Amino acid sequence: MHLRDLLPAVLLLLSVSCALLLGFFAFDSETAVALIKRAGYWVMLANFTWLGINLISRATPLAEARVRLGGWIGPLLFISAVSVVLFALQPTGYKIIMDEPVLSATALRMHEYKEVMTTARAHDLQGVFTQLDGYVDKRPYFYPFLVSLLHDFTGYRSSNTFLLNALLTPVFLGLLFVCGRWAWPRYGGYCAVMLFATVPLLAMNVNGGGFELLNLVMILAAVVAAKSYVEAPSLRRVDTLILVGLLLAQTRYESVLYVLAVAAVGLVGWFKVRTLLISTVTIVAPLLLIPFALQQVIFSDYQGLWQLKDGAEKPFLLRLIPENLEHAATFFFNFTDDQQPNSLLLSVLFVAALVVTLVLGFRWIRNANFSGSKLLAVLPFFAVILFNFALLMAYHWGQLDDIIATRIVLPFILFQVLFVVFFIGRLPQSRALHSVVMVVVLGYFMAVTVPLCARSDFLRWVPVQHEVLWLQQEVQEHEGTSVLFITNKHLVALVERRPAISQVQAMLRKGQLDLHLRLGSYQEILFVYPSTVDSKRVRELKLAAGDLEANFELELIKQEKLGKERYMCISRLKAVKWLEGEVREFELEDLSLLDDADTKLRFYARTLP
Amino acid sequence: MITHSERLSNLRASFPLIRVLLACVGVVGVFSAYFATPVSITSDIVRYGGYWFILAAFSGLVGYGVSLLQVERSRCVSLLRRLDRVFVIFFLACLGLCFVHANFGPKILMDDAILMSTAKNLHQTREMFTPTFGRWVYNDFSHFDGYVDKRPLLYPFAVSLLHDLSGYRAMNPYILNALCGVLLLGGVSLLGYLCSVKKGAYLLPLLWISIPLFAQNATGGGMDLINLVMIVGVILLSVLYWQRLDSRSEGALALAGVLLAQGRYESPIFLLPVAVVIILGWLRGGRVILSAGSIFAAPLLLGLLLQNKFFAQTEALWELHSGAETAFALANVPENLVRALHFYFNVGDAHANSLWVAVLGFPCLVFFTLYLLREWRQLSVARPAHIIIGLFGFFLFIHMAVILCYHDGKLDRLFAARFALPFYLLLTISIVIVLERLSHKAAIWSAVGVGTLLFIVGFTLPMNAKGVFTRRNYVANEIAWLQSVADREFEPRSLVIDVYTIPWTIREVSSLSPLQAYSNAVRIYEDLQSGKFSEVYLIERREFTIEANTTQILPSKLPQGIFVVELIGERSFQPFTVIRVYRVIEVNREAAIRLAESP
Repeated sequence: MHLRDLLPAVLLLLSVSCALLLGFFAFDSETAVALIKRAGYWVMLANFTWLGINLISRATPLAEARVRLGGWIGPLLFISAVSVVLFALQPTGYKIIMDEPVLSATALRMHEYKEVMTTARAHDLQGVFTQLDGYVDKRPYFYPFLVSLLHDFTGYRSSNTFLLNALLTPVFLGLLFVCGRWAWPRYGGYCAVMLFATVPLLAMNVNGGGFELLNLVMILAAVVAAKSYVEAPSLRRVDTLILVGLLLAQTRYESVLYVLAVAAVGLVGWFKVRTLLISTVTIVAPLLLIPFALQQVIFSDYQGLWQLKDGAEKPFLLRLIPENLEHAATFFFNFTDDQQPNSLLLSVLFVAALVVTLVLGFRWIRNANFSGSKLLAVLPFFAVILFNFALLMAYHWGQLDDIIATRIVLPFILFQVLFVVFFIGRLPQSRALHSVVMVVVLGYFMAVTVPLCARSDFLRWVPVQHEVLWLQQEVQEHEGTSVLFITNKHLVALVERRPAISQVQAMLRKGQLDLHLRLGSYQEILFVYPSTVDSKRVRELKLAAGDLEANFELELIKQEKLGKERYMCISRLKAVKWLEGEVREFELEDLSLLDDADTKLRFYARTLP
Repeated sequence: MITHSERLSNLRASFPLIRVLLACVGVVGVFSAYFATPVSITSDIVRYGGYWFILAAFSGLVGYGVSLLQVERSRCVSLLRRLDRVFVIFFLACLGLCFVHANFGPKILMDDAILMSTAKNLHQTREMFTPTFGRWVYNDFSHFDGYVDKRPLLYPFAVSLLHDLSGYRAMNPYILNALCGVLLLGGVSLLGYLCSVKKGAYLLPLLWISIPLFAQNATGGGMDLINLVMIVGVILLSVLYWQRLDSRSEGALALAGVLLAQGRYESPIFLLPVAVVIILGWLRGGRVILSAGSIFAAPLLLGLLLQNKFFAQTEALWELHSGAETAFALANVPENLVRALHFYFNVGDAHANSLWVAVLGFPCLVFFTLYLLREWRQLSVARPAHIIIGLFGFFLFIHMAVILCYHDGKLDRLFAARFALPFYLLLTISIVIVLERLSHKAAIWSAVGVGTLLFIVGFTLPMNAKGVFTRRNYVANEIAWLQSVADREFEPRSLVIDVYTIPWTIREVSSLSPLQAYSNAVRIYEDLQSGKFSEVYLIERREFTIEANTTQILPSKLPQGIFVVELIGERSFQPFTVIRVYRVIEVNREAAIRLAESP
């Protein structure tokens, strides 16, 4: 082998080494925060643009084969119809609090400043909604990135976060249809789509603002790209696979493991053509993952970001597995609790398929007419899905019957669906079988899924979700007015592009708040907070505002009962109270010394609470 | 091959003596009128005649346009046929990107409001007049006070035409500018096509989309975009004239030049390249064409000349400030140049500039100049379009030089940034021509195209979305809020006392400045008593002061005790300033009489 032929491999090794060094060892968390904030967006934009260019270059020959599209009209109509039904099954809005508002706030920051950051404080600065301080969040940011692009190209709308999931729905169903057809050539596409639709969790995510649906789309896209590459390995095809894999790695926390699946598929291709297919993308790919690695550096330095609950000391523990498996069984086989978005049909079919497969052994699979490229493309991804599920069972927050955690199971449900479809595809084919399968799946969907979705949003026991939706509505009603919102759910107001700060900030910057109250910078400064009522003295309706009342003179202007003994209150700030020994003033410059408007504006910005 | 001497002899043989004489009479007549007309009556001539001059020029241009379309039908059809689906989608996408973060509304106050007011008056009375005070008499809102404005007439004329054709609508100024945005993108696509065929037709509009200033003006109510559309239109007509050398294209070019001259204050500069192109065309074709459009061009400029005459003589209209003694001076160049570079190369979001166009455009401008200087002889035969574009480019450069001499030509000031638009045309054209000259390789064009697209996503769109350079104009925000308070709280047929009277007059609300109102407080008292006004509202802006760590609101600058008021609204739009809206509940007649009698 000539030395020059080895150069790409050497460059790839160098790139991997550089990426590991720069990503995990070169920077402390403070520098990592600065780097991600400034450069994270641009690295992702480069990755995304590169994928776009790659797909366009691949689409040109595909466009010539458009005559074959005729056969896809039926599936397209079917996918559109299922998408529309899924939109109608659940109300649109935030489902998982505060994950989804955080993603929306990050998307807003990315849209306006191209910074990977979640704004924590925003003000109206001479007519301009200005995002001030913030923090680099632990959440992977491919989803906010896409929402920010939607803002860029269609104008800012807080509902774009839901629109993105709506747009992703037919894409997901389309990819699922394609994979279903591989598993069961004739009816697999229809069966896979309908089977997944019986899981209300899908409808919930289709109408939410989270990144779960995007994660599914990216897994399936990676599988499709992997199959295309394994079929006929080429530089262009491996580029698609790698670029999709990189974006998938930045979609959900644990999705980075799919990089291993991509690498495995890449190796399969190399073996198949007996050449090292190393393109520029392959060499640069490890470097494009540096922001992800930096995010992990930040994550590991701030243990609070793990949100460990109930006294858990570590996020993953083997001893959690039995308990979590019990919770998983409760979720999968639930048929009485309206608050569990599961599909009993899918669970039963999956178990049946699994048992039969295990009993009959792998002879079935060996004898099946299942093309090697599909198997080689799909198996590494399924392996990661199963590993992730095992990881989830060891996770301190891995109780699948807790609605906040349920969504994490979606990739495993994808595996279940494709496995069941594959299993049915291996059964002796007859018209009766097809009819029975379709009638059972469709019947379950109509008889169980639709009515369940109609009577439940699965969030009855999540009061904070009700509070957030109420706050969002209140904030939207203040459009065109000059109001500063102070609330611990300030991200909800920020996402509506209204000036807002947290209650903590308000406590810390009482002097500034007092100054701007006197200056009339806002027509109103409103505190929004939840409150409870002592059930024994419910007639008094004296709503406790905790520390707020000790620090601020408030005038209650609205209260709404959101549940038993649960109220949300809006109070207008009348004055700032000073506690004994508290420093009332902060240093102000003499305005007369500030000569021009820009200096005044900068000074004004510094004094904002 | 016709030699130069043969051309000259042809020119002499076909000399249209009568038309030349008529043209001379026109030119001499215009200049005589300019010098002979006393300043005192120029404003009346402009007020009552200005509209008709521009209407005549516009009608002539439309006539020539229709006639040109007839003879160029086959070329138009073939051009339309060559437009593939991809380009149409691309063009629509460009329009989408331009307007996606649209914030339709006034951008430059009081310019936009004055133009809107003039346009409304042109629509209603055909008088070039800007009303400042009106009152409801029976069921009509009649104007009783106003002035002839210094602003060139093309934009108000076009808005008034839109009012005429579609009915009066307060949104029409913005609709017109949005249409101008579409026309400009179409125009630069054609210009790009002339510079570098298809690649240019794609790249030039994309470069324009990367300039936030373009989107800002396409959604505003100012005259800058129509001026730019006319510059592009005149360049395209010049190229057409060069190709056809007939009376239709010459007449269209001359009249387009007349309209362009009335696009902005500095735009008469472009009459020179128009004249140069026409004369060079005569030399090239070996005959003096001198169409009716060219003959009447000079007389049709009379309105503009007289407007300039009283403008030049009325110092207040120059709005000299910050100690400036003359409007234009070479001494302004160093500071303005630094501030222009600060604007063009700004990396933040406070200015509506495109760093991408500046970084590519300035070096390309140098190369473009060298290219023209070195190859102009060959180009005049092989690529005449490049020579014509180069000629106009030179005048775009002169235009920038004029701006740099202007006492208020500081491009990094929010209100002055729009002066940068014509120079952006020169920069973007330079980029396309230099790329065309440098390489035909698709890779370079693709790299610049992808770079422009990434710049648009990474910089232009967020800048447009935040709109710092637009929203920071607190006066526009104030006026919008005041109008909303008025809609909610004000009684019909009220009087508003405010420093900005024109926005109220446009909305057919009687308004007086505080100075006028306080000196006529007795009259206001009587008008309230007689029911001429149902209510009186007072708008006041108050500032805060911070001294020795304490905040205080400064005392009112208005005389106290005349109007007894109650507060109905308060809001802050500018740091340390509040604007208050009061309802006058009583006028103290005795105090008003004392104030009127005081010296």
